[in-house]
Amino acid sequence: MSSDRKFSAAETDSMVRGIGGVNSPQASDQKGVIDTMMLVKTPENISFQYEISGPFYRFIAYLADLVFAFGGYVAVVGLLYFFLVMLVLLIGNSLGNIPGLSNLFAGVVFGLVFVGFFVVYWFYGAYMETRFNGQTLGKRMCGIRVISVDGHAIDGVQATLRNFFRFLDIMPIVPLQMLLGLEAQVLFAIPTFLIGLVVMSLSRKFQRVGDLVAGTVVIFEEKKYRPDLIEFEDERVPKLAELIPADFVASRGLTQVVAEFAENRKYLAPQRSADIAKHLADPLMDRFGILGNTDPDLFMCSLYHRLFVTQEGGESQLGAGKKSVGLGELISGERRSEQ
Amino acid sequence: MKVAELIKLRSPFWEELEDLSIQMGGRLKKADPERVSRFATLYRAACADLALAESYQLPPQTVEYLHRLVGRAHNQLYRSQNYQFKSWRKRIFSDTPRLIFNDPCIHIATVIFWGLFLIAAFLSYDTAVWPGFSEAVVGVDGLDRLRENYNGFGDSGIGSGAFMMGYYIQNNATIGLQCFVMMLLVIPGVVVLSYNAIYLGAVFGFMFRHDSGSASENFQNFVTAHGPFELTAIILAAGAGLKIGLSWMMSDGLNRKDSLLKTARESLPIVMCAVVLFILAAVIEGFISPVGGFPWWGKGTVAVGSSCLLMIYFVVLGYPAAWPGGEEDGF
Repeated sequence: MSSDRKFSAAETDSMVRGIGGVNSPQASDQKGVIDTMMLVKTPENISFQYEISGPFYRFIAYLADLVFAFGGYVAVVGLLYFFLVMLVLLIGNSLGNIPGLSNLFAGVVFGLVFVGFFVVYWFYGAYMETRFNGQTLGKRMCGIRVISVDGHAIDGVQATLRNFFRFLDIMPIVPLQMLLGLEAQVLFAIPTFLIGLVVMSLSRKFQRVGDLVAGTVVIFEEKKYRPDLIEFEDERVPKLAELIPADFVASRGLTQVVAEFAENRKYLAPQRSADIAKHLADPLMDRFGILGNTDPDLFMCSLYHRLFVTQEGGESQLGAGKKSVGLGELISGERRSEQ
Repeated sequence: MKVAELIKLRSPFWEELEDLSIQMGGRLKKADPERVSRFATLYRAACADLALAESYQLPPQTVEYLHRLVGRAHNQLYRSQNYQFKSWRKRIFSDTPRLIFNDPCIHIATVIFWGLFLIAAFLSYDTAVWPGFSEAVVGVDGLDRLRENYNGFGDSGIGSGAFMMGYYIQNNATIGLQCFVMMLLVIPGVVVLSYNAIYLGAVFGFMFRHDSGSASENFQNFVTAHGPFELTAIILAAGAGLKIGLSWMMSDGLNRKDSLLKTARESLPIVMCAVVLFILAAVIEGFISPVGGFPWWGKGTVAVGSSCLLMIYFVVLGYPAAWPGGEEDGF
């Protein structure tokens, strides 16, 4: 088990200085990362993970963008029309009737309506994503952001390309009356987004066609609340923790497992929680000489308390040459005893 | 140090970084230098905490929080560059014309478009070779409508000019961009390009026939001025798309994905050039082409002038030092 790997003094030393760090061999390849996460290595030589956004949030963001972009567009056109009508009336009142004036204004307004539609349809996303660092209004609302596959911010070329190729993603466009089975004239065409959806589900990073062409990924970026260490109300927990021998050192793997258990036990029924805890608690209690009828769940909580709240940091102790207790050892011991 | 103490000690810094990331979500320029440098310090500290999370034995939830925190801050630190207009001059007047001049995909698109256009025009013009060709392509109703449309010139004030210009920008540039995008899958794009070429060819052949009467004359008068820009724009859009479409099939020694990314980046200036040409064509089509009183030689001059501009752009600016002769693209 890779997490049980011991560090030599030199390695430990380099990690304290921040060289290497998480970028040890098992972290730098994508293998250890779950496939909805994306590993990014920064220029500071730090690796961190982004959660990749799936189609659902992105579709909501897209709908919100449609509302914002075309709502804004309609509002601007409406205002413009209103002002021009007022202007024409005003000029007509003060200067008398000028032939062709209203035609002129109508022509200009409708010309602008077409140009505006073209610009909003093809360039809204490109402009917003370049200007606001990979976010449109809708994306900001949904807490998602576009970044390059290498983790950097996107540039104007990428933003423009990925928005141009949206036209392919919304294909095939099916006329409404075909969906309803009517034989009428084509009024509305419904984009089905099928190509985008299929390509997204086939690509490893939920990339649609536009993302593949531009080399971009959409990631989650909402604020996440900072979890505190878990505090147990049960006052037996610290008392039981004192029974754990002072020279006990847990390996990384064991520490992680204990933390995972403590963080998730609130979702479990007490019986289930005890069942799960038993696998680790039994061999450990056996080793520490704690009575076997102690609640395994309670024991795991005290272990958590001991490891995270009362124990001095683990690294120095490992360096001091003490033998740590590893997960594999415990589990295999349990298996042996079962056989 | 105990893990609990460590978290307690670091939390204020993490929260400060979180707040600064949110504040800097707007424009970085507005942030004062002290805040920026504070942000950088905090970011480095958070990076170090994350790097050492394993040896500090932080619980998984805290590590996950740190990943998010560093990710957010990273996105603010390495921001997208705003449009850098300075570098555009070289790109517009030197890089792009050379790219267009040399690109085999644009040559292929040129051959497809003009080849099909000329064949369709011939078949439509010469009724003996393939009787009923133009009716088959455009449809009888379509042909009647064409004849009606070009019976005479309508009103041609500035108002209707602006209206038509807007309409043509929206309509034609959209078709061009759609063709560009469809070309990613090559076959749909080639179908769109060929359809446009054959349709236009059939219309031209039909309208140049002698039995079309005065409509023929009006049609010639109408299409002359904006033709060069518009037809070149279609070819450029299709050629740029074809380049991307072929790049992931023939990757030329690169990884297919990398080849696609590289070529897409190269093709964007070409398709933007096409958009500009569509807009120029629409301006001419809106304000000059429909004016009945504008003499035909005047429109001819516009056409010759725009062709010369294209020639200068593609050949003079695009001609590479070591290129064994060449003909202009598009015409």
